[in-house]
Amino acid sequence: MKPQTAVRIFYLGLVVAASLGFAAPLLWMVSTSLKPLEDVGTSRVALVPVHPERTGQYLWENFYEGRPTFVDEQGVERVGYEGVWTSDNVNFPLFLRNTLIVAVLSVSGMVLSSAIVAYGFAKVRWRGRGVFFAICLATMMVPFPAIMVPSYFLFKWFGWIGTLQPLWVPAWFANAFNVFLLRQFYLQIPEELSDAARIDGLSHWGIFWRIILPLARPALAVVAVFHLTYVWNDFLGPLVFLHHQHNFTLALGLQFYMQQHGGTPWNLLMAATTLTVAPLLILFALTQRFFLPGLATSGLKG
Amino acid sequence: MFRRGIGHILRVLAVMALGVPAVGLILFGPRAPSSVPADRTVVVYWEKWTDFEGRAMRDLVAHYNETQGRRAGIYVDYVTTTGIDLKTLIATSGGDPPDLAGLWHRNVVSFAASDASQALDERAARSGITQDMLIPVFDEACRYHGRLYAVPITPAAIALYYNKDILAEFAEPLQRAGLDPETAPRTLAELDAFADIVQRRGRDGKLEMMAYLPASPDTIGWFWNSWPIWFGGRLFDPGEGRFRVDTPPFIDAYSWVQAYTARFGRKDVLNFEGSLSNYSSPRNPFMTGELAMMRQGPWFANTIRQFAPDIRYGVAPFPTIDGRERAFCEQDVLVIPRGARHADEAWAFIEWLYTAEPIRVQSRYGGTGLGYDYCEVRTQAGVERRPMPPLRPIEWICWMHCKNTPLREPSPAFLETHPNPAIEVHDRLARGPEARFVPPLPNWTELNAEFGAAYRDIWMTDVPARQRLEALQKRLDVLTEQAKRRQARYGEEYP
Repeated sequence: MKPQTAVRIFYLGLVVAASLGFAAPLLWMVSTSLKPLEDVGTSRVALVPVHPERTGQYLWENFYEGRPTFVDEQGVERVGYEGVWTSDNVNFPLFLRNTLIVAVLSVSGMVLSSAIVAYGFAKVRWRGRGVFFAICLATMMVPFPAIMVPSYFLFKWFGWIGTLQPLWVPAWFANAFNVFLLRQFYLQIPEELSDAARIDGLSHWGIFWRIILPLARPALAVVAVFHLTYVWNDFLGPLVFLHHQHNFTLALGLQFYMQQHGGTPWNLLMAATTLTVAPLLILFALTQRFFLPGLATSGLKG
Repeated sequence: MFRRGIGHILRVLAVMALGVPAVGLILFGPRAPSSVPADRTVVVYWEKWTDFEGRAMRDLVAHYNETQGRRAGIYVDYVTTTGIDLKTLIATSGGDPPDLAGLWHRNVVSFAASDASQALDERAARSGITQDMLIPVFDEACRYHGRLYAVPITPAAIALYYNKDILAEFAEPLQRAGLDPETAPRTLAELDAFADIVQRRGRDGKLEMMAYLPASPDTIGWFWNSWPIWFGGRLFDPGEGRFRVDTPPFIDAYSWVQAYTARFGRKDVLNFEGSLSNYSSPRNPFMTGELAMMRQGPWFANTIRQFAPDIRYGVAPFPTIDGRERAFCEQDVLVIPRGARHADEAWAFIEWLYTAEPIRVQSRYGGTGLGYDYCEVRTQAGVERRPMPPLRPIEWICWMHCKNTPLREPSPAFLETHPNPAIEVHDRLARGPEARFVPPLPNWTELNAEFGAAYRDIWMTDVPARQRLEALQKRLDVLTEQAKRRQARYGEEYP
């Protein structure tokens, strides 16, 4: 074997090992979601259930229908858990719908508003631009818990407490990090393109909408994915502003599987978690080719 | 499109496969059911319980809404939420609190001192819910400056759970040492003697099983701040007016904890501790046989039934320095937050919980392995299944949660049919003269955090416990002075 091939194999092994290290919790999550509770409670550590041939049945029971009543090995009728999708304890479809509504409205607002604000900081010359940009960036230093109570007062004044509005309306007023990210991308777009458009009679809005925005699609995709991940996993916002399980989101809903004094049904918790993270993972896998160039050219990477 | 290749087509199809159901779910998905009747006063009740604990309370609330609530024109809207104390506090400061909140006992004083909860004395007196009705320790934990700010809902006294099968394995050496393998240790000296014998190491000398581990379950253990109780001390002396950790019961207690690790080798114990799964895992070390004894509340019977129903276990008071029975207690409580819009109606629900005639509630749920439309009664002939007995609502919920009763005079059926076969032990401990809670201090959360950091040092390092506690006392005194100044600003005395 050539020395170069050996080095390549070595590096490949290293990468595979590191990937497996990162993927292990995810694999464990999926594996636990495909086991019955009896298997989760044993000392046996394995990725497959004791009866692998019943994996399809466990998949159905954990993710969908469950075993509201069943007869155990001693012939005693027992009360079991309902599956994640049909459980009346945790209304998963409703939580998913609420999460989707918040995600769609929030991501649309964030992408559009951040794109507009970033254009103002990158392509429009105005007095005090640098100072306002610095102030904008400084808001990144303020953590959410610090503004939690004032925000609560504000949203209460609007009559929004207990509704989904506090979770998506603020996204329509941009976010410093995303503004920064898009501004960096816009600065790399040659000024000559804007000048040419201006000569052709386009206003700032026309230049933004017809020239800059189409060119910035990879960066916009990055903003969308980052914000979607944030919204999908946000726990504190829904916890503070939502007051009824009718409008809870998935991040809050997962807590319904945890119990104060033990006895957590880990297989169902993992099934619910798998269902919760699956859309993000699939979306990432499908769109990574599209938004990775955005990361590379917006100053966040390489 | 075809020029871009099959990969592109597949990606588009996959995005559509995700997008179409998503749009469908948003447009045609489930809507929030509107079950709240328009002709009744709605009491918004936030509670922390989830799963089987939450379902039980939901069933009880549904029963109330169908019966007494209908007659009184009240509808209790039960909302399960997490982070209940933070959420309630923020909502109360925002002027938009629930009418009823299910908090932990440790919140009672801090909520009362910050004027976030309402005093309930007058209402309780009118409803006949007097001090005589409650077990003293549970009543005391609901008071601040003598006034009632909460009512107990599901209380518990902590005891020692021991695995009889593991002790039986070591019967011979235990008997040689004058110890009874069928009985739990009564004193801490006996616990030490058990611990010396009941242990197993692997070929490499690593600990594989221990009789007892102070830091279990979980990282530094539950109830770690209760150790002085077992050494005959109080966690707080009202005469002192401040939290003291440099007194003999504290120093003796935490020196013992530290010596425990030193005896088995600190590194070995910490490695062993690190290898144990957490409490709520099915691989709880008591279930897996890695620990023969564990301090727990009565709810532990539920967990054992679910994850290791074949374990033969016993329950006894946790060993103390002199063999006297002492107990550390915990409880969940109900409070009516300041600014609650329907405080009277919220109280009407509490009154019903405590004073209604015994009821039968239809409840079937999973999680505990039992259906609970029946109970198991232990008779001489064995275990017999019977229909659930009628219980007062407050006892019904305690029964369903597998916890103690807060009532001085429980229904006989409560103890007789309780899902924890050793509930009498927990009940006796709660009624004992030396049953204690955490200190009733407005800044307990802050003090407890400092105490926790010191406990971690004591457990994990060689810094002598006395030295660490004396240093801690200085820090606690500073925090206490700050709290006193804060209280004085509102014309109130600390604690």
